[in-house]
Amino acid sequence: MGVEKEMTVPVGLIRYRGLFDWGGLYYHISDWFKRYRYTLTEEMYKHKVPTPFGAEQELEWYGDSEVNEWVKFRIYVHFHLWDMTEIEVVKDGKKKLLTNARIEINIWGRLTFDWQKKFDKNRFTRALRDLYIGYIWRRESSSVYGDMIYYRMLGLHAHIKKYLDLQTKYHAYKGYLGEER
Amino acid sequence: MSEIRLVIDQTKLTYEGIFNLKGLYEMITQFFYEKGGDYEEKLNTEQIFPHGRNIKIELAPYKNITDYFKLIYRIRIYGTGIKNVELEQDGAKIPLNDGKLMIIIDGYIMSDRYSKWEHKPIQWFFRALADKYIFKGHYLKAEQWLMSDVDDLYLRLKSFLNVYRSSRDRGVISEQIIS
Repeated sequence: MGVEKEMTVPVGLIRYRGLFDWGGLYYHISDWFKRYRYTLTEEMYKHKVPTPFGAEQELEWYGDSEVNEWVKFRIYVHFHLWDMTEIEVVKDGKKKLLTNARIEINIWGRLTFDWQKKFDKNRFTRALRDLYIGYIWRRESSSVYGDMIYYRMLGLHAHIKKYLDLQTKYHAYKGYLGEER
Repeated sequence: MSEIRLVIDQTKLTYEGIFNLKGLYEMITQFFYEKGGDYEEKLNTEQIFPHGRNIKIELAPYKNITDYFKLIYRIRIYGTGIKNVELEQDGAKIPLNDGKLMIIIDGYIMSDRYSKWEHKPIQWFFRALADKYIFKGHYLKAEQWLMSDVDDLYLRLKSFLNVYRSSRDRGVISEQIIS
């Protein structure tokens, strides 16, 4: 069995049904990526022809961050919305357009080692890389960087829950990395 | 795949009445944070209906106790018809929830957590032998650890929910629902 150059870290799934500010949520998540200095890419944007129940949208985002010359983080966010209808609400005397829909948000991340492919030159350097990732640096890869991406994504997870005003928005592991912005 | 054994099978707690959902969630997550466990939230669903909120939460915190053993907890929280209510206590309004709750806790022990002993049939065989005879004492300690943690959480949940029940019985929280 070869040594994995990449590691996928799942975080969790959020499902919500009700009224929410879709534009605001879109902005808040992209702002989170910006705050943590991730370059955000919208890989997919699907809008299906609305049915009498409403429209369907599917989006896929990823944010890249080069942690150092050896490790790279990529955080994926997948949105899927069904039965989207827009409703005008009056709040504090101001009209606001909110979305009534079912939404599913899935977050996961990927750690890539040797992202610059410096060790990809020949068989010997590849063997050295495998030795480094598989044995010498095995603990650090999962406990230091694995934990870092996991708890950062958990922060995003909590950020989304807070925005949607879920009952479970409390984040016990806030400050775990000591870098909350 | 590492070997996963089910130790605690569906410890259930059902409750109907007034409670604080935010406080309950906070208590559970804080419990694992205090115990030094890692936290995983597999699913978080919230649906808002005219009769109230329905929630479905699945947590899977875990704790790596040694290089070989890992304790995995699975907590499922199902809530139906949860409404926001405000109760009056000593002139102050307290925001609480009213509805039905069901909490199910499972506990597992994972051995060979790095999956080192399963690449060849002979390794698999030795792992089974080691688990059964050599590491038996360690396994029993892990089991004890898991059971005491789940017991502790279960008691905390019970007392947390009973605070609302008993204080209502004692008349500390009045039955007047404002909104």
